[in-house]
Amino acid sequence: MIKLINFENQHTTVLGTTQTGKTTAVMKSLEKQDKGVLFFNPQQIPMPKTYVKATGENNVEQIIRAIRSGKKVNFVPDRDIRWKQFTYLVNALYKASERAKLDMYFVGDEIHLARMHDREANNAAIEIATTGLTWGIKGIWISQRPAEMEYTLLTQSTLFIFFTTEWEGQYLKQKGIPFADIEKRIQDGQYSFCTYHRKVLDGPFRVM
Amino acid sequence: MSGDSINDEIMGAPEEEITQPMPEAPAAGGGGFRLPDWVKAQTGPGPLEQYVDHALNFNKSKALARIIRGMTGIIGEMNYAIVDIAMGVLEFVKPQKQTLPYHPGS
Repeated sequence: MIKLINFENQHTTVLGTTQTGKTTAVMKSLEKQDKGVLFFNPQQIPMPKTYVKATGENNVEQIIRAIRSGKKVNFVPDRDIRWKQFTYLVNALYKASERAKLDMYFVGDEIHLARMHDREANNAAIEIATTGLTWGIKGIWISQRPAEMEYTLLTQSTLFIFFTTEWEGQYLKQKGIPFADIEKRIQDGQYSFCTYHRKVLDGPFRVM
Repeated sequence: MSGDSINDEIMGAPEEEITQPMPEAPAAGGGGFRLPDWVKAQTGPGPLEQYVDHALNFNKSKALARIIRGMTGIIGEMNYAIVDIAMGVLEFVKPQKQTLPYHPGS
């Protein structure tokens, strides 16, 4: 069944092995809704033209203005300072929201890397997970390594999107996720996913 | 927030170069090393004999007369307290000439 992901007003975690369509599904689903988006894109995945590219050479106020006007911003960080840029952006979004509340999605792709490599960036992600909704910032965390993710990001998510995952199945089972049922639903579907919202499993779906 | 880029904000904008005034060029004929001015001072006026009877020449020697004449050229009339002190120390520590009694056959 073709269906875009409806992220609504909550935090979301998107899990699945590499090349299963996670980033594409998120990108396409966000493209069609009207809230602003900051897609932190460390893998430099090509984005459609509807996304406005930004880098560290841009002024942060430009980015915030774009987000406020509902634009989808594809932020491509510099590899050697990407986590400094991540932290800086999160702090800037909070400051902007203090002036006038934002209504946006912050997408952290390969978010497990923040916990593995940079404590400040990981803390910034935790800040969004624990207080972001108050400030109009909804987090979308994409990862192929849920066991390496900051656990708070998982516990504060109310919507989960599952793509094919193999080695992480045991971890998900331990956390009470009906992994066997998910596997059964998406076993033959390339780029298929299931949604798990407040303990209700649904799917399989595809975004295209 | 300033108009700087995100990277400038993170890494700090490069500092403006501050142009220091160029140091004064050395005097003509001067090389890279300059002697202090006092080293090039002229010796004191007058003949050496004039300094043998100088008040600070406590042993009336020509050697001390030469020292006093040279110091006069550097620091003037030599009536400074520090000069008095220095000369007093010299006089105090100068070796005392002692004549040992001669005992033939010892």
